[in-house]
Amino acid sequence: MNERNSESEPPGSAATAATSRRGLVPWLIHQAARRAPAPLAERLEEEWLADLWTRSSTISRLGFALGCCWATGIIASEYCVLAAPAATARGASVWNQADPEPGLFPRHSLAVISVLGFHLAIIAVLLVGLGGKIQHFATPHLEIRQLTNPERPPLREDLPKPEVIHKAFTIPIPEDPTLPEPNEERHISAAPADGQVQAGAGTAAEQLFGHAPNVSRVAGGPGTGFPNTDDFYPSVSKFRGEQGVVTVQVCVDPTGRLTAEPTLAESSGVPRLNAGALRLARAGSGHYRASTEDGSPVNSCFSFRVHFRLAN
Amino acid sequence: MVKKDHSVRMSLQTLKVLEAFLEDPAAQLSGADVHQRSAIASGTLYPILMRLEAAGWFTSQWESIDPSSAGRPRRRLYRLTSTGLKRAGEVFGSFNRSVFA
Repeated sequence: MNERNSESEPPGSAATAATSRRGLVPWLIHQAARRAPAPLAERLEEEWLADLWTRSSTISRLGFALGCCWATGIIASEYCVLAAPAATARGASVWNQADPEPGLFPRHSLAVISVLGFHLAIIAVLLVGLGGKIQHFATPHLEIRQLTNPERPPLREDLPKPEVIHKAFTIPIPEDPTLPEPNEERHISAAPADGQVQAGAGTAAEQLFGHAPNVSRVAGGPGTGFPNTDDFYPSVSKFRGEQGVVTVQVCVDPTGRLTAEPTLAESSGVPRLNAGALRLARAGSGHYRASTEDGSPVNSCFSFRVHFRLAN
Repeated sequence: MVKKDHSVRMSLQTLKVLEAFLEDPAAQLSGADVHQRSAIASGTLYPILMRLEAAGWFTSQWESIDPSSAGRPRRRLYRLTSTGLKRAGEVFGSFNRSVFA
């Protein structure tokens, strides 16, 4: 593991690390890295400060720093175990190499102080946040006045009286409105979620007024050569026994290739399965059966279900 | 230099980390990237990365950017080695066989 520190440092990295060391969270990371085995300390501090850069919220940054404090202890103990045989072989003291510097506080004290500080920060945030609301809901000071002779403004006699206009409105009602027969058979097309064939003709408005010709539409779906669902069943989901059904929407051209990124129409409730279904949908590009209108394949969007089921 | 022992104790978190790398075995991921994909806290994540690197499953290197011009610190990037790829495949394969046999 010593070879990790043998790489040369590019210019500017030390300055960047120094500037990002300001504040409580970078200080915590600095303290955590100082307690790591000496050959790893500098690397871990720079790596953690770089990864801290991606965290935006204060709580997330604080949690990250506390996690680094925790990680230091594990890394230090495992480093001792890994380095012991090699150091013993060359007669060196492992613990001198691996034992972290005493630092400002012992490790456990630092952890306790960090946890206490974290709780105090939460309490402070709650108090500051709720303070305004408590003041808002507090009862205002009441002042009681007794009005002995309330003065009313005199009525003006010179103003004209308002004129009320009565008007009657009539709404013409057609005597014989022509409505379609209620039992008339209609075909309204829709993209089936299960990829089954469904026929229809035009939009509902076109069918109602009879202006559009009948078009036979067949929805597309996964076709020949479509990848096997089991190949995209996430291994971790199998391990955890996660099962579910994901509905994926895809848009394909007449050749069955995707024309847009597949989207999630209905979640299974398990993000890992959702991601697996989307990967399957992407991998199936070129193996979709395109939707047809009057037998001719057309550009279309449809959805289909992916079942992730574990074998008994 | 410590001799590399390729055996690694497998846990659910370790499997999650491996799964994040197996999505694109050629990709180089930082600790922050792995956190985003696997949602493992930093206190668990970094010991796993160091453990897998010490075992020879991962290799790591600094990101080749100029921090002053990029305006951010350089990241430590991890990548699966050929040994790691092979062993990770064996782990998931044996796991699937034992569970779904």
